[in-house]
Amino acid sequence: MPEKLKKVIGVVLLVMSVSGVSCGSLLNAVSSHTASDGSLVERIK
Amino acid sequence: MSELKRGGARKMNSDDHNRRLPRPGAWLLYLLPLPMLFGSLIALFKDGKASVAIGAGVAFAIVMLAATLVRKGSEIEAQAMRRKIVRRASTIPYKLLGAITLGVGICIGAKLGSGESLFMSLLLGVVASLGCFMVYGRDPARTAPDAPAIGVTSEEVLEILNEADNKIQAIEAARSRIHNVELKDRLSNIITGVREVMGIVEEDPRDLRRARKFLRVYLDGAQRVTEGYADSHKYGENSELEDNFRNVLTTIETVIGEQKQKLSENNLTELDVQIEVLQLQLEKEGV
Repeated sequence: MPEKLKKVIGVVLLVMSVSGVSCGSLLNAVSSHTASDGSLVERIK
Repeated sequence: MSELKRGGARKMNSDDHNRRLPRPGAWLLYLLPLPMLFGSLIALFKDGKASVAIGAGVAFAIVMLAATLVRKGSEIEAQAMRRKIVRRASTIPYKLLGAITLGVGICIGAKLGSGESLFMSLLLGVVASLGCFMVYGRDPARTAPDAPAIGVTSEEVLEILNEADNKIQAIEAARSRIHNVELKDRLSNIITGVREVMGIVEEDPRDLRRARKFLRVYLDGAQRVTEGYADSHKYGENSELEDNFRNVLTTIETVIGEQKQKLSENNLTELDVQIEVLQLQLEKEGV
């Protein structure tokens, strides 16, 4: 795999996972509907 | 002799060259998890959000540790690749440790901070590690690319070159404190000459055997004398001291010239020997 493409895919994976989890944590923290385990799925339900 | 390639220490191959492509700094790993910190702080002041606060806080700390490890690994790699000769890198695989730590941090953050399922948390952790590995690459080779054929190791060559670099920087700093234009110009020429000698050694580490004394002893002397002159110069002009310094500069210039000549003569001698060997071989084979 070309080095550049590998890097681009890597950045996408990194941004998706790290920012996804960190934004998820933030949303979970600001959400007023607290579920017993704090899960997003529970809150949607 | 002819079997030995000049520049016996391992030079960079195309793979090494690829690894020299600019990588995004570790700032990405410091920046992306910031919402996690805010999430942790907000959850801290909310009832029933203690697990989110702790989870996000711990995950943030682990991700910061991972970012620091990756940054350290990148710095070591950059240092290792600065010269033409590849040096043995750190024995600790910082980037690999960073990628694993990042995965662990993201897994904890996803489970406790975002409240994802265990499977999803593990998956996100693996994806983060993989992404980190793809972006920042692997750690440089941990085995020493020694050059036993030339009698010195790459580490030795790089150590002496780095030492010489530091001495040149010290001479440059002292030069900036001297106001005499003629002396400044001569020092500038000396620095250029030393850099040329360093370039020759870097190109072919076998020349280190001949340049070692110059790079260690003479350069050290040049640094001390220049610094001494620059220090005493600020107390006022002293023609006797200036004349002595001029004499020293002349000696250094002569030594640099001789050193360069010696190194180029060595190359020519080697070429002569190679031509002779080739001629003998051709005669023997009746060509």
